[in-house]
Amino acid sequence: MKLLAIFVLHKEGDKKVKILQDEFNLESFGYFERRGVQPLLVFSARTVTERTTLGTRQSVEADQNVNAMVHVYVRPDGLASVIIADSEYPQRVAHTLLSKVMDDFTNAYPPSSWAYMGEQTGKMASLSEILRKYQNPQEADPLMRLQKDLDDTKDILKNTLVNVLERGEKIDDLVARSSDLSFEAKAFYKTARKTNRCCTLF
Amino acid sequence: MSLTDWSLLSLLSSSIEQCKSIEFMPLTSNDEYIVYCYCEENIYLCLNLFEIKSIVKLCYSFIFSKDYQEYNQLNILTRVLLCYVTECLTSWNIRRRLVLSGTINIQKELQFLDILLNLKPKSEQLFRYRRWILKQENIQKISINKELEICDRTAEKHFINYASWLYRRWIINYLNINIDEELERNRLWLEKNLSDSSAFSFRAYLLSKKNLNENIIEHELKLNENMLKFYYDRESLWIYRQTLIFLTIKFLSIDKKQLLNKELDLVKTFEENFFSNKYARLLNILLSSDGKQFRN
Repeated sequence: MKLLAIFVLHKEGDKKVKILQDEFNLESFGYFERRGVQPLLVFSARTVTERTTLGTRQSVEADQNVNAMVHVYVRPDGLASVIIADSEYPQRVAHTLLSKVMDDFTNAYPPSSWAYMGEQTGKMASLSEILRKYQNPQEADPLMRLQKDLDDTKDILKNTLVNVLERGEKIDDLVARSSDLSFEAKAFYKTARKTNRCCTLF
Repeated sequence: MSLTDWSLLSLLSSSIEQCKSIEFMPLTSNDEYIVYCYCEENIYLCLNLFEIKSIVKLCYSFIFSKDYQEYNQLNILTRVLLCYVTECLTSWNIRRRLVLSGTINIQKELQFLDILLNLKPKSEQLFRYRRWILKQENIQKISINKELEICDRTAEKHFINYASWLYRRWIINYLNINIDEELERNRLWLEKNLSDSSAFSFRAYLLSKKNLNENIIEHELKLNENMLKFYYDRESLWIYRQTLIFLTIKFLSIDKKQLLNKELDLVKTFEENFFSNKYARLLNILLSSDGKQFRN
């Protein structure tokens, strides 16, 4: 059970999504694998947020390459946060954390400044601490008791990445077009797909 | 089978020998040369996923040839082959022979296995061979912490890893590890991996090795109840609770009816879901019959 990454994003208008700050924990991956995994996580965080309407929460199963759930909450004011955790991690805790991350971020940076911030310029110190501390979800227990709107985190839509995409979109095309992914990451994505299919090696 | 093939394999073997971490990733070759591996900072080795087939074929042709049968040659060949295919029993047996003849240093071999276990955390043959190696080694020289760390790591890498938990059971018996300490370690491990039914089954095994009394069982049930409060939607916790009830009925002479009714009351305090319903059904069956169909 682990948290892989936390993102704070800002959604302006309909499609444009800007990552304000991110933090990763990729110790469980191999030295070389990390380079392929990290851009894939950035890519899925951005893709899912782009396709989540303002004021909604959802949990999206990332594709089979990385066994992970993408938990996302886009606030009505356009601030969004994404937590990528493995499927073991309790969904309710993840969504409680999302609210906390955004509250902290709003305290550090006032809403008026979001539109002018550049990609990954957020420097909120508590983000890496949150990622470290809540690796153990039971730490979040007192936090969850404080939360008043816990009831709306109970029945959160669970989705798969394919379902999140709009009509006519294909995940392979998105990967090919994405500027988050380097050439190596795209190669990693493709071969991971191939090898996952079955024992094709022999 | 040419001299260049042989030097390729020796090169691979020496890189495998000196690296601390091995991974398989797709590497792109071009028209002029084929990329077999890639090394960084002298300790991270990346083997090309696309060249597995060719290397394995090459290794086999050398191992089953007449010319490359000296001990140090076989050492090189099996090291490379096992890195690619850990389930090759023939190669493990060759290495067993090499260990017995003193060509392979036991401590070095343990390190090699450690690295391979990162690559293939669920390989039955790997664990089997490691058990064999430990039996050859002086029992004073075996590091208990290292072995337990390997078990933790492989179990975490591969969900419900039978090979790893089986190995742990063997280690507990072979090295005579204190059961209470092991129970505590297991509790901490489960905190982070609580859907792992194999770990719970291991815990039940540890309990059954102790002299069961009411206090132990009560403590376990309480522990389980606390976890259920937080994660009532995990099947593994419910299954473990069921195992505990069966253990109690089998080994302790207590009032069965009272116990089962207490459990039924407890289930009602949790939010209803598929697993809690199933558990409640089982309790009712146990209450209404003598439970003969579940014995053993």
